[in-house]
Amino acid sequence: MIFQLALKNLWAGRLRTWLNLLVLSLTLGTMIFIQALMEGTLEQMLKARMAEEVGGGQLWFGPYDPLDPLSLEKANGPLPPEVALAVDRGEATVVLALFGTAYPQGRMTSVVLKGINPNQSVLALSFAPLAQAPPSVALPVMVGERMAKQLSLAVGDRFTLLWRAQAGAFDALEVQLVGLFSTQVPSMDQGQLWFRLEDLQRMNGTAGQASLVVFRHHPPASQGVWTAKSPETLMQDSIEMMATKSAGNRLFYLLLLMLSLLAVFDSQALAVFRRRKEVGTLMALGFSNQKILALFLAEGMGLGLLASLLTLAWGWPLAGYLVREGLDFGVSGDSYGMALSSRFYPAFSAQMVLESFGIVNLLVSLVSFLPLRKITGLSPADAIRGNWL
Amino acid sequence: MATEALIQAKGLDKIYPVGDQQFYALSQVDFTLGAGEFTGLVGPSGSGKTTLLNLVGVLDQPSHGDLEVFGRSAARLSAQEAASLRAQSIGFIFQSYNLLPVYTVFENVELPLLLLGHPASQRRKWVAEALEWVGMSEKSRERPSRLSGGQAQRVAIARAMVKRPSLVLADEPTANLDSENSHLILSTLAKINRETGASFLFSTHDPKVIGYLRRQVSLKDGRIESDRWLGEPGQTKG
Ligand SMILES: Nc1ncnc2c1ncn2[C@@H]1O[C@H](COP(=O)(O)OP(=O)(O)O)[C@@H](O)[C@H]1O
Ligand SMILES: [Mg+2]
Repeated sequence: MIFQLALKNLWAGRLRTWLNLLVLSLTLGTMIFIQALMEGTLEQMLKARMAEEVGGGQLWFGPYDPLDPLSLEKANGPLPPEVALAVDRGEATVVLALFGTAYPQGRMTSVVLKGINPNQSVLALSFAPLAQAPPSVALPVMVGERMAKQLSLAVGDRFTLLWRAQAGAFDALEVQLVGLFSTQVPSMDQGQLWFRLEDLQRMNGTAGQASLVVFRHHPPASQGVWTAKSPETLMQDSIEMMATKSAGNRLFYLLLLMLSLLAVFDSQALAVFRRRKEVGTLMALGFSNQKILALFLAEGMGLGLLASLLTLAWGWPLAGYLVREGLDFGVSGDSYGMALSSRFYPAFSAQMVLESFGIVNLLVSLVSFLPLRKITGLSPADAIRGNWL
Repeated sequence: MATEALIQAKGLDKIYPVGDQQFYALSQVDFTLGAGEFTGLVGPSGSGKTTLLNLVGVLDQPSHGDLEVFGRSAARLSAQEAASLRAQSIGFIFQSYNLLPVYTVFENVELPLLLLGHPASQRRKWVAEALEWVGMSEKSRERPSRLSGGQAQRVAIARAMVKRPSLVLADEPTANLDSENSHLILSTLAKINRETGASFLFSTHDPKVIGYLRRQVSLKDGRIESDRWLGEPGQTKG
């Protein structure tokens, strides 16, 4: 009975009800959208990193530490036989990483030299220009587009490279840029010079050795100095960064939620004021205080429920569209230091939708109920006379 | 005339704090109401009529004294029990009708039955009957805002009577009505009183109402000045 009456009251509230519904629904939609955007961005980022950087997982040679360029000097070794086999079968590809200094246009910049099989297909990056370089090019090199821009390099440019070989002596060579590749993953690009694996191995005097192995699927377990790295470990930084960002966003939408709840509270409090005679009448008719509270609570719940339904009604098709078409914010992901394309694809989940609905319903009920707390202590006579505010 | 007492009050005080003074809205009131009465609390504004009605309707508690409503001590009723006593046995009629604007006439009258949990078929039947009593069957789909004062009060009477209460409390029911509507309302109430045997207690200072009463209890400054039985109720107009 109470719920029936509550819906009737909401229906009769007309403009007030619609405004509240609108505010709540927009809040709900925004809450869900922000979460979906974060989720989708993370998914996109992880997908890009899996495709272009971490593969299905990696094996690292003991001392290899990408964050410590000085470690690179000793960070390569021979592959375990079964890993070599996997590489031969095309299930994995190896990378040799060295530390050096490049002098493009007379400027000096520290670089990591990376050797990779130009015909590899484990990573979704094409190093074909390395393979196709004419023999006249002594030492072909490729860089990502960001790096080319940063160093003002164009295909065909030559520059000097200085590096310390395994033997310990410094060596200088002229290299020529034969191609650019485009990647969403900055760490594959910035500060990296990409060579043919054999070239780099020969230059360094470490034939057959590598710093890391990227697997198409799962890497084998760690063996000896070779340590297995799961994609999750390798992408921990991205996951953590997104977690921090979502925490920030959660703060934003909590604020939004508070504002819209304030609006609801305000309108409910006003309604209770306007309806105080009605409350008195209900008491005289024999409604207990609890029943009247339940009625207003039910109105709040009804409001939340209707707002949820309304949100589903406009949010569902919109979400479908966004998931399909993505959203162009006109900024490339690099502006955030993230590996992203400029189109963002939100990822919705039942959990985030239900969670948001749950939170909003709970809070709206609470907020509808709060202005009525006074009723519990009120004598019906005072209510009817209107002596209670 | 009255055999079975619905209300028995002895030595009722109702005190309101006014500043740091105590204001006696009712003082040493002894009052009994039997079944089937058509009785008025008569007195000037501020004499305590509404206060006494509220006590009788267990909307409020006396400050001192004994009050028994339907044989139960009002002081010992919990708020919940008082509410359910009102829901079951007491109908209220207010000066300003107090219809719920959101609901139709039908729904307003149905509300007390909904509260009592009566099944839909019975609700329909009883609401139809109640609207018939007051001659408002035609308007059952209207909202209260589209009714005249007299029509609204008749709907309010139907709402009070629909659950067939044995006690009806009417606080200045004609104060907002013109003479013609007042007489229409009063004759309707008198008829219902005869047909159902429900006991009516009015608060009023309207001579038109007094003309219909069978018993007049005069109040002044919170005290009962006189309590006397009158002749048979006056004839209805028209
Ligand atoms: N809640 C209250 N607080 C203080 N005084 C009140 C309250 N309710 C009623 N009174 C006072 O009690 C007196 C009797 O009021 P009431 O019973 O409403 O009179 P009547 O209905 O006869 O006009 C009035 O003087 C009124 O001001
Ligand atoms: Mg009064």
